[in-house]
Amino acid sequence: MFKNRAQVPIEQRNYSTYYLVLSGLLFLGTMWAVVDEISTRRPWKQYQKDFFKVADTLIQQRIDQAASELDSAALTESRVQLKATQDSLNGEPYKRTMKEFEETAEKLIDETREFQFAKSRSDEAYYFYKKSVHEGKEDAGQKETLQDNEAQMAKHQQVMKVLQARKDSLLTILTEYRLNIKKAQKAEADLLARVEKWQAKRERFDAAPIQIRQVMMLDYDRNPFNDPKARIDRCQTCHLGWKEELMEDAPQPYKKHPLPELIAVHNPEVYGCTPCHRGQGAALTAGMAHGEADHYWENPLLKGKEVWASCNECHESESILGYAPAFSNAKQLMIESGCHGCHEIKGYTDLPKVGPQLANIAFKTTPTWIYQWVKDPKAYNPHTRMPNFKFSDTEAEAVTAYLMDVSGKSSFAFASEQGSYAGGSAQQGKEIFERVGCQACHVAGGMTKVRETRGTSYDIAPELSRVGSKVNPDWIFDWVRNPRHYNPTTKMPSLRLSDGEAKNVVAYLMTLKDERSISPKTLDLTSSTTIKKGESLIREYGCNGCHIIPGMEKEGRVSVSLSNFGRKKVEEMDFGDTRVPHTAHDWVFNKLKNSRVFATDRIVQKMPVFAFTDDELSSLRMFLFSQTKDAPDPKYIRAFDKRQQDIEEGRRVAIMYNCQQCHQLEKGGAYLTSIIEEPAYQPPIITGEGKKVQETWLHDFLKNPSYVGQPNSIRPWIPTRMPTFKFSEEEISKLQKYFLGLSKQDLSLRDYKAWQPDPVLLPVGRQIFTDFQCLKCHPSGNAPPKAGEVSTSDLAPNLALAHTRLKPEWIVEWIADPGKIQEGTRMPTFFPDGQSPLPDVLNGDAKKQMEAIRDHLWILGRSPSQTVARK
Amino acid sequence: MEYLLKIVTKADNVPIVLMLVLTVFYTWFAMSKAAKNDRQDISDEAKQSDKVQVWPYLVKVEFLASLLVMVILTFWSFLLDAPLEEPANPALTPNPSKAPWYFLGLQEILVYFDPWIAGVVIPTLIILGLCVIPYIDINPKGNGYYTFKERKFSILTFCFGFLLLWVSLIVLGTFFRGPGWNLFWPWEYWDTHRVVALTNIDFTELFGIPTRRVDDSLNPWAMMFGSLVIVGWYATGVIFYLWKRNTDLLKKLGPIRYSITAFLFLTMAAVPVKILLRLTMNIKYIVVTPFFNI
Repeated sequence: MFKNRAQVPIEQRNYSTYYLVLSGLLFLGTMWAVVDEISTRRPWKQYQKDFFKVADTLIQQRIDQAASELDSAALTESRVQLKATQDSLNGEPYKRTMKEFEETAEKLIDETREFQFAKSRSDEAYYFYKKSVHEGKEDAGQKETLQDNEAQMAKHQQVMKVLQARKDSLLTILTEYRLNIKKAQKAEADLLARVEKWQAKRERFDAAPIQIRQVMMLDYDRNPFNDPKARIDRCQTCHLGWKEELMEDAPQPYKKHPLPELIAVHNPEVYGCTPCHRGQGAALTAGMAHGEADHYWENPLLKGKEVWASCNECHESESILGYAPAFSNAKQLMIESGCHGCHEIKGYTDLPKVGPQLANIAFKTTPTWIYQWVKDPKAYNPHTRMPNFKFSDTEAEAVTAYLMDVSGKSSFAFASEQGSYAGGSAQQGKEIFERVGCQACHVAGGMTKVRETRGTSYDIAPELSRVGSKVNPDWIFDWVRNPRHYNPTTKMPSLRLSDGEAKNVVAYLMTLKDERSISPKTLDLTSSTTIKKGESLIREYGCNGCHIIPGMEKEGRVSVSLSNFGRKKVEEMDFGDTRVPHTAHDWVFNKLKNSRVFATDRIVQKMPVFAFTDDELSSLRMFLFSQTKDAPDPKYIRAFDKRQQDIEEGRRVAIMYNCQQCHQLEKGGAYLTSIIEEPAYQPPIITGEGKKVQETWLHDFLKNPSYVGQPNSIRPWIPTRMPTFKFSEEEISKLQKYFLGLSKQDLSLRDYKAWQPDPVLLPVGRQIFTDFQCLKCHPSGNAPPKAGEVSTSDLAPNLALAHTRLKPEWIVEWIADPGKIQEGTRMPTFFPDGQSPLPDVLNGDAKKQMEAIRDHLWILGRSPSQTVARK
Repeated sequence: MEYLLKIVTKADNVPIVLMLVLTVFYTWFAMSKAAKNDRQDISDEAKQSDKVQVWPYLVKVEFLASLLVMVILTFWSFLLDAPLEEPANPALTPNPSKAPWYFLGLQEILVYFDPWIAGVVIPTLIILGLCVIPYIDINPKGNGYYTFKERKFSILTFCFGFLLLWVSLIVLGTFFRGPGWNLFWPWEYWDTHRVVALTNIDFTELFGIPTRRVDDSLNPWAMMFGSLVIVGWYATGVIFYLWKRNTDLLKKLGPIRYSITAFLFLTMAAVPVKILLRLTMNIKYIVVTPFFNI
């Protein structure tokens, strides 16, 4: 063909076939582009169409359901009613009335005109008459006309009045007819309201255009050069049903968001979806948007529980997030496991060390125990937080030697003579141990209920089941009487044991022996090379991250910062010789499960081995992925006002001292109550404490709660003791502001002594107090309830202390509705729905009556001389 | 081989594969025409005495060609999406960081020469060299027809510079340079963690002359020896001239044109020599001076 073509002179060659084919292809290309634009490259259009189809079916179901639930008899009746009312407009009576009304109105118009004409004529006559008088020749004719017209006016007025009255009364009758129609119409509309609501929704959906739905935040992100960068979020183009009640059980991508309360405060119409879920907001195909199809996208969708990791971008400084318990738990896990000891974690750099100080350990236990412990802590106590450093025998020996050496040089001395612990009864010791609250933190002798309730794989205080073989009885005696004598920074509070009680407890704890057979080992603890080696090992492995160790005070964190761990690339992770799949998820999981797993013959790993459960591992992993430096523009980050700062600071104090082990402060906590069945014996719930108690009382109580359990205290029957924590003034003030903040109150100086009851109300209060039989459950100092008179669970706080403890406003609020303040309380509601059961007292004014009770309470515990009448 | 296939078939590398096919095809096309012409007394092109106007006969064909290109580009863009990678981040550059494909030859030279030489001197010489071709090439033959016999030196030099150096270095840089700019064989997986032994030495050290003295200052002997080697390389041009000075070609060329040609040719030839020295003997530099290293 080409050969032949070459024979044809160039001038005569024909190119039209080429031209036809090429322009045909170009046309085809254009068509292809159009098809791509309309459908193949726009899968979201189909999603939207399907959504509206699904929605339509569901709405139809709702309409059918609403229609079926419709009271058809009522509807028929209301329609009959409507028909009747409408028909009545055509009825004889209505017509007659209407006719009469129209006639009367016409007559009234005529009469009014006659009246106005008469008035006008009288005005004219008056003018001429007056004029004639001024001119000195009174015109009698005009005067007569004037009088005549005035008489006519009066007559007309009379008739007008009668007509107007008639007209008004007829109008009322007519209006009645129309009102009846309206009423009937409304009755029908009410019956059909639900159906119509769905029909309106369907109309809205039908009218909704197929279009990209996007949220733009122009300044949300920053690019690597720190310039503002818009975030464009088009998730709602496919996820159309996120706010539709209708789509509760619909398939993805139409399903309703599972947490409506959470998105109520993080409105996706303002913030979009990607700030929490990540992914590629601007993309409009599932693979690209979620990140599976685009492995270059740095923020793929967070799946499952891991979505909580993104909370940290805006809520970094809050330790408890109300809507994200999973994230709060992960934070708590991280804090309690002491990760911050070796790793720098933004926002957690100033936390106290999680382990005990070791400056005086030689006085506490034996070198053999230290050696065994350092080698494998979990062998002695499977629930300890201390991880396993996998030291060799000689390394463990060296560490022991250093610890014994430095603590042996300490100037510590027991407060009482050696041997003064002797003489206690183990049986009574056990009874005290179980009674006063030791179990809130410590497990001993198989009593594991609190641990199980708490649900972590580790304890927050050492298990004591083998303590008898670990410590020196002199040490326990010293420790339980005043823990801060041995360790000034300990969290362990004093339970105010008397010497006798302390002796019994020592006797009990010394019976808890380690039953394992451990082959004895001769340790060389004195050679200076061994001590030196121990020192360098402690330095190298960063023991000071968790413990205060003499000689190591200036050491820093031994490991890497985790502040941007969430952005660590899988290429930056070393998988050693393992067959672990090369993903960040698997790397973190395996690293935390066994921190030495990626070690090779060349790569030494020093991180000790923890023993987290798989749940804890994924929680920690989620926490690690949350650690990124990508924060949005400051205006999107939750700004703390003063009160929130106070709450956060106090919360950290409360968490540090483990208040939640016994008490419920916010949500959860109160693990100790799992072993106290009787609600009256449980440590009180203190969720609303800020609103409830006087600031001075709370201060004094936190400072020194020693009167707890004494006769005439608030709840003298509770055997568990509120410990003395030896809080500093600063800590007390933080805790006070925390409680007040949770109750939305500010710290203010108030003189509660100056608050005086109303003398008028006092006798009434006394009367109601007796009528309500308050004293049946509440002891009031002077008259405690007698044994057998009241069941244990009905025991209620001592009211004699009310005036020094409670806020007067709170008492009224409490009496008004106890269940509102504390769910499930046994305190009866005397004023249901704010109605007084005593209509004869104070005119049945419930509020006044409550105030009367409060005023009576206020003088209950006071001597008569203190009761001064209010001026 | 599967790894190489994966890389070759990546959407990014379509132009390079296309370029390879086209270069080979057009070289073959030109050479086969030249071979045919060289066998005849008179070239095919010269036989055609018939001539036509540019407008409309050539423009017509060019218009159709532009349509064809448009069709190809349109369908290409339908079938392959733009191969975008991660958002640019100065704190985290991709590994390997590759230049646009047409610069990969120059980037490859960076492995063997200092940035100053590979990035400035060599590109400048390439441009200048291309500019001076009309002035140093005084052979009038080959105008308007394909021939090899009459332009052996010019064609071979061009093929050497373009095909061997420019194109094959692009291919090397695209298909065989992986993470860390390490060389990978076609059957090897591009492993980010690949470790390569660093055992480069300087040329003078082959002869026991260390580049640096014990106090880390430069060894003047090494500098002198290295400089001698460089000077010696360029001196071959002078020797060749003295040897062949009586031939017609050199006489016609004259000393100035000859020196420019010889300098450019020897410089071009030095590039693959240095590459071979590095790849086979781990030679880092021939000469190290305080100002530049070659």
